[in-house]
Amino acid sequence: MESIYILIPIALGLTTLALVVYFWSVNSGQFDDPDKDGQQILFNHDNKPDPIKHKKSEQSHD
Amino acid sequence: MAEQASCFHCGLPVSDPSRWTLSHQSEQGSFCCPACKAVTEMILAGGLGDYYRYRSEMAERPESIKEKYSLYDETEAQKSFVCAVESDLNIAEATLSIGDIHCAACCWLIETALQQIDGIIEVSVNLSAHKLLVRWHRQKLLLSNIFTCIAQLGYKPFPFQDDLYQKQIEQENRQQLKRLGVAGIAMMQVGMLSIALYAGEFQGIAESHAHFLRWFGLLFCTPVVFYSAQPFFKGAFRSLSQRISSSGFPILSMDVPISLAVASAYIASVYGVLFNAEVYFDSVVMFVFLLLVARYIESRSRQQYIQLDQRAVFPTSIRRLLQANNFQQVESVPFNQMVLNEEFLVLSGETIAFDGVITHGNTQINESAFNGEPTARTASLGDSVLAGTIIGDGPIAIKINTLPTHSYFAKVEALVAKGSAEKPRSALLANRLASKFTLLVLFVAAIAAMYWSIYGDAPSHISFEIVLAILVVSCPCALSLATPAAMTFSYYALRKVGVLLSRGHVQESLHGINHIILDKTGTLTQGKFSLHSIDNFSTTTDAVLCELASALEFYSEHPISKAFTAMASDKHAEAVKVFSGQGVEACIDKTVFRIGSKKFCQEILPTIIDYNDTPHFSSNKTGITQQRIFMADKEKLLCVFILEDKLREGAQATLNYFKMKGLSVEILSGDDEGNVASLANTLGVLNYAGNMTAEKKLQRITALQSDNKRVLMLGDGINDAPVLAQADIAIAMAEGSDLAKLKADGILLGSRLLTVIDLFEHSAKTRRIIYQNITWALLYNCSALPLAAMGFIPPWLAAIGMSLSSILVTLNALRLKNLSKEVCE
Repeated sequence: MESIYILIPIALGLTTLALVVYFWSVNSGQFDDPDKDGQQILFNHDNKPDPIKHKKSEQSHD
Repeated sequence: MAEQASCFHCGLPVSDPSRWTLSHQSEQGSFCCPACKAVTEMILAGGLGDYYRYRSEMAERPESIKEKYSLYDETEAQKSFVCAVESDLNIAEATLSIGDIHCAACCWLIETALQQIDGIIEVSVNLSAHKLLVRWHRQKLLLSNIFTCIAQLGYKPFPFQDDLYQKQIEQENRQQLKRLGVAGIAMMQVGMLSIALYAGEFQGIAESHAHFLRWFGLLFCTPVVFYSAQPFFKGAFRSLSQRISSSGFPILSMDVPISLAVASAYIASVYGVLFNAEVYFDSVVMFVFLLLVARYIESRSRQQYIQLDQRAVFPTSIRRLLQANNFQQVESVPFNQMVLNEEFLVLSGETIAFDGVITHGNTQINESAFNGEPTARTASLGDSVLAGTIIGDGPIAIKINTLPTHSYFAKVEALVAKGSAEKPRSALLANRLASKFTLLVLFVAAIAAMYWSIYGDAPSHISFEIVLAILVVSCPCALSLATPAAMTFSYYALRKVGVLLSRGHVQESLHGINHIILDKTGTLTQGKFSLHSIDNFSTTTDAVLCELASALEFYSEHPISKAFTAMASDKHAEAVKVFSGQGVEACIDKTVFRIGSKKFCQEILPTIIDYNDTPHFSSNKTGITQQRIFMADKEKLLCVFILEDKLREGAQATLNYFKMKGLSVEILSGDDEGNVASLANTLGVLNYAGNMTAEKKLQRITALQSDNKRVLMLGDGINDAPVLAQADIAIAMAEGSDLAKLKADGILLGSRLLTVIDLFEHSAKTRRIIYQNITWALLYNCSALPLAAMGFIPPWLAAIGMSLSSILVTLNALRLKNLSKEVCE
């Protein structure tokens, strides 16, 4: 059971790391719109305009 | 509902299902109007038909695109919301606010539709903030095209106003999320340690291990108490200092017992760490986490409302006067193009967009948004007015003297943002109970502590443990969670069917309501008038009469005016006076005209009495009601316009429901007695009154209230606003005037009357669940308190009891997440 003397401090370190990452993501605005992002994945499919074609048409105008 | 076809796009009932149709994927859709059909055609043609599969709410009915978006192509107009991207001057970036976005499908629709336009580089829609960020090539595309495309999809685009308030909300949200995250992650860690400690309690654990685990519990818990729980401590401090300064009866805010629970459990745990006694870190973190979740959801939903509300408050385009003091020459310009010292025109019932001084006309100004005072103050030439206030009778002209960024409204908004983190002021039952209970607990704990320290033969730390057990076991967690949890879930359920509650007390006070007052036009009927026929008594043609009416009604915001203002008119009205709920008086070509109710015209022409106005109210199978509008000058009655309006779907069913509930129903309308009577008869309503001005309605309602009636008012118009403010509960229609919506406690978003039934039923259920929760919480606390005081409950058992009771309360509230089946049908 002596392993807890190592494992729990490691857990503390990982938790701190997770919180740092979480704070960074909140500050960079990734959680500003929880309503939309949750459903966004539903809409990515074939009917969406082909991104490659889309880019091409853009470039051709440049 | 199943019998009646509903519009494929917006979900409104379709009167003639074969008139506008379209087939989509072997499905036949009917539409209520050509605009809806056009939007659907455009959506399908763009290959975006999946919108109809994924959307979670019906779309807003599109209005024909009337706003002139080309205004936004000028650099001057773009200044405030468009910026050039630094790397490439040809690319511009604009932030727009989009009205009427409901769900992720809307975002997807806008994003995908815009991406198909040549010249668009990047689009991203923020659903919660109703914001759109777009980058595009200046050379290839005009900004107005983007506006038009969005408008064609059925949404309302306008320039984003970057204000302090929005930023504060954003900051607030992020802060809350961080607090929540810290509490959540710490909860998992502390939970892990606690399970080890609990298991050790039964199976035996080396003291050195337990000691180690406790220390780490303290490490994980400390940031939760000092960072995550900060808002509770601040709130408690504010509540206490307010009480001290006003020295009233101590009705403590909910934050006081919460802070007390957190602080006492934390201090006790620190003691446990130092002296190898029991620790309660798990209860502390879990309690804080659950409360933060409830608060976050609550504040988010309130913000959503505030944001919706703000968009409704200010008009998107302003009627700028081209010359000073000349009402006739008006051009409409975007909000952000107005500068200091310019004049603009405001019509009756509209919101003033800028701080300024009145240069023409008299009116009543409603400043309730600022001072909560429902009675309007009279303002005339030279008086200053504030942006965000609403005028009564119009029109008036105003000269701008302060820019929007420095307006009083902006300052108040910033204050509101600060205050919106606090709970609504109405003291709910649970709060009152909890604050009293807290006082009782403190009292019992003090007595028990004294008793055990004086008479107890145990060492001092035992008596401390007893006091601690009392504080923990009687911690009003469950009591404080009981109401917010239930309210939050119930709010969401009602929002889903289109009832938006803006004030917290509605669900609780709905119970005592025993009298319902309904407005007629726009509430029981749709308020969309069309001209049926004209009884012409004059020598001029019908067309000329229509032109006159159109010129007169231009200044009115009453739904009736829309039947006329669609018609073109070369005539200009002067010296316009609008009498809310009665009519308009104005001077055209040096003749004074009045248009409005019979009584209103009688005031200048008493002979109208001869006109036989037996309403030809049809047998009403079609649900069409007729309305007479009189037009007269001082010599003779010119004509009577016969307008048609449709009954709202579900009007009869809603009234039947009220009757079944044993509520007395009354119709109050500004319309002529005859029109009201015939409608009341068809609907089977016995109490009704016509010719009601706003003052009369107010008198009626105060009379009812002094007669111990609790009144619910359902209305939509300007003349309903004072009544809405006075009623115990006020519900407004989404299509109603700004003023009515501002005064209301709730809004029927889809303007579907039947949803009122949902509101009644679901509120009853919410109340039941709140009472169950409170009963359970009190029962638990009251039975545990004496036991703990007598020293029978060890602190660890107290902690388990506290957590379990909170969880039970939350699970019970979860039952409110959906409307029950019977209600939906």
